[in-house]
Amino acid sequence: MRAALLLFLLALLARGQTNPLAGDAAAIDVGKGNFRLYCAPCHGIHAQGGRGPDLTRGNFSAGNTDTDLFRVISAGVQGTDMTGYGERFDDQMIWRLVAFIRSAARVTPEMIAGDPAHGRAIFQGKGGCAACHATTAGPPQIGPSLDRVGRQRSLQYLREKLLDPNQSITPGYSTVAVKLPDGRTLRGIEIAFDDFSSQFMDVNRQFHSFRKEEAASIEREPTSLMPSDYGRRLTPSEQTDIVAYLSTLRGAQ
Amino acid sequence: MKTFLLLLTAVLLLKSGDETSWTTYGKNYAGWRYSELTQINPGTLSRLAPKWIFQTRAPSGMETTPLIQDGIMYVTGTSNHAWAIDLKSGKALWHYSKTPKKPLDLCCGEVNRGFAIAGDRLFKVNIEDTLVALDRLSGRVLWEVELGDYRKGYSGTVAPLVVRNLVVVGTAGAEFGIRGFVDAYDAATGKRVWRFYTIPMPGEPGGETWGSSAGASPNLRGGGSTWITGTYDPELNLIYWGTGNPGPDMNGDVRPGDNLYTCSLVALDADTGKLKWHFQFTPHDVHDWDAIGDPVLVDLKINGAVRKAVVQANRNGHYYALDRTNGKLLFVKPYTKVSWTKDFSADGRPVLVPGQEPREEGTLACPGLGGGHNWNATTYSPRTGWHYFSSEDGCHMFYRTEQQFVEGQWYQLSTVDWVKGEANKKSVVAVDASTGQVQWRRELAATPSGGMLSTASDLLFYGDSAGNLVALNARTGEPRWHFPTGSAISAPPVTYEFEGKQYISVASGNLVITFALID
Repeated sequence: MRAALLLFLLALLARGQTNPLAGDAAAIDVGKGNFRLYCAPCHGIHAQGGRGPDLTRGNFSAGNTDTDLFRVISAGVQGTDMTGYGERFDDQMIWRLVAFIRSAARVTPEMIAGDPAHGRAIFQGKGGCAACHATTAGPPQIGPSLDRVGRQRSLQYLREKLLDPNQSITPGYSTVAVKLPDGRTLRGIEIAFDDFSSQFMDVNRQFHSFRKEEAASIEREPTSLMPSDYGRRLTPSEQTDIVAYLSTLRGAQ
Repeated sequence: MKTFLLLLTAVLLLKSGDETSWTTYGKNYAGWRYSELTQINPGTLSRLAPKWIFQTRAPSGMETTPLIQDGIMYVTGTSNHAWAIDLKSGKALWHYSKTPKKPLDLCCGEVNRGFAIAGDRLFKVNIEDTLVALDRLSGRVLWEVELGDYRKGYSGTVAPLVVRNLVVVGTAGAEFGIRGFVDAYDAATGKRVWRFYTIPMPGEPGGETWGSSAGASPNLRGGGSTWITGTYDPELNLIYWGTGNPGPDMNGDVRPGDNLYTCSLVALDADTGKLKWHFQFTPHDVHDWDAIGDPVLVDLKINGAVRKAVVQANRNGHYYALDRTNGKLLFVKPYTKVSWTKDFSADGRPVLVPGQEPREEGTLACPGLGGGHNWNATTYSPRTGWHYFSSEDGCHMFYRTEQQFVEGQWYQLSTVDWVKGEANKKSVVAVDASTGQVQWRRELAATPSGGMLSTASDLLFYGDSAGNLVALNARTGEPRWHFPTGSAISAPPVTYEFEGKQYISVASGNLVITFALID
């Protein structure tokens, strides 16, 4: 057994870490089951993307080789929601996932309609998006940084979030509302929230920390701080242009 | 009634030693996790603080129930680690470890739920599904036997149960097409004394509940894992053990029929392992609703008569009381939101709401995958007569998948997703064990993920996913005390008396923290 394992590892090295299970129907099959369990919550049940990137385009933000995919699944991608699964999955399981992801690639990549330049103008002007979202690497603003959002989110997800930000709130961006004993209410982005205290940052980028007993009430609100009326404030073509612009935000290439 | 309960308490507690020790998973054979100690009470709680912290330096995610005996604590960690810790100083007396075999296909990490103890011997399972006996004073291995083949998806996470000279143990792995079992081994030699398979083969009683057209040995994909410790009634000499889901979890096409003895409670003769009775909560389960909630033994006064009962908060959303002498249903009641049953027949068989099976495009069903209540340790207080447990109230979208079976590899054929716009509510629930009525439900921001402990001061302790160890008023659910431990808690707290003082210990992340009243 040990000798076999050694041979397997040597074979891997010799082959420059291509997937030893590439194209293996049984591996793809099992990989699909695992994908649905672990990956589908972010990448969608058909790998079509969602909160996580669309994996059916055959073009991956952290590299396109089998080794890249293996590394991403194993170690995650720093600065993104993609955590590493190396401690939970053994190599064979990761290769099965890689095999499935390769099999899920579509022949024609999704075409992006809209005018990115116009979308950028709306983002920075009429839409007021830039007030809360950074679009370049660097310190984030109050909302999620969008500097790599074109790699991280699917087009459909971006559109959904633009029109209905309350549909699913990005983890880490829940709204906390604290009613003070004097009647004032403070709102901000959740940093931590449990049954005894909450920590959050308000729109002026000030930290707050309250124990339950210091406030009249502390609640996690079911709504995002992001305005939910872009469906009315922007025309359909303006919405499409913004999505087109966001899809061009791909970070350092 | 109260006198009766007190008398009963005395009888059952005698079987598991005094309050200076905690020597079995559920504290007593009945699985109560209840302590008569009262030094830590609502009046003194404000002085409850850490006395020592033990750093295991092993991977996080401890689920262990610490055992306490003669001034020493015995804890198991993740990835085949275990320690003996001096209660006075918090120092390790010895450390056992064994590198887990690879590759391991696991549903839920290299976790372990604790030791069992008999005389000078400790028993634990290792993740590659072996049972190991250690010398209590040195941690030296006395014997180790294989329970199941890890290359075929078997794994070991459960805390064993010692019954006289037998070490009784189950297995995990129902997501990998295993054939579940409950085993008993001779504590002295490690020789297997009996095995009860939770999945009968064709021709055996129950074997006909797996269809006949799905190949030569469809039952071999059975599942029915036995990953949470059972309970034991010494008078009836019966062991009660819950069983997990059938395999594949959410696509029942290859296993037409009820799929005995999955999602069931089995009562086994302790000497022979022979099935005395079984009760299947969820026939032909397709939602992964394992029947592994603690099977708690209580004597209940129902309609004026005292009934020897076993109660369980089942993952399928219902609270059940069964006659533990014969397995007959006493009552069944939902304790959370349930979408899949209309009614029950007199014998407890659910009458199904049609269309609740997982589909390719998703099916909304309640409770969700983790059930109303999952595996986390529960507690029963004889003072209130209430059974306390964690609950997740809400639904999931259940998606079904097609996939070929490959031995030893994941075979769930499914996944779940949140219902858009609907957040499941986490709560602690108190249910009257003699009626099934919910007495109170405390909704929480953090999941009560760590299992429960109740005491004679009417305090209820549990750890949550935000890392707090929490004490609630057991009669009202009101919070009384909490301590942020710094890591999500997945293990139940225990309490015991040492040198005249009451202590509370809990594993949090990869630490063991011991609390006492600070003078």
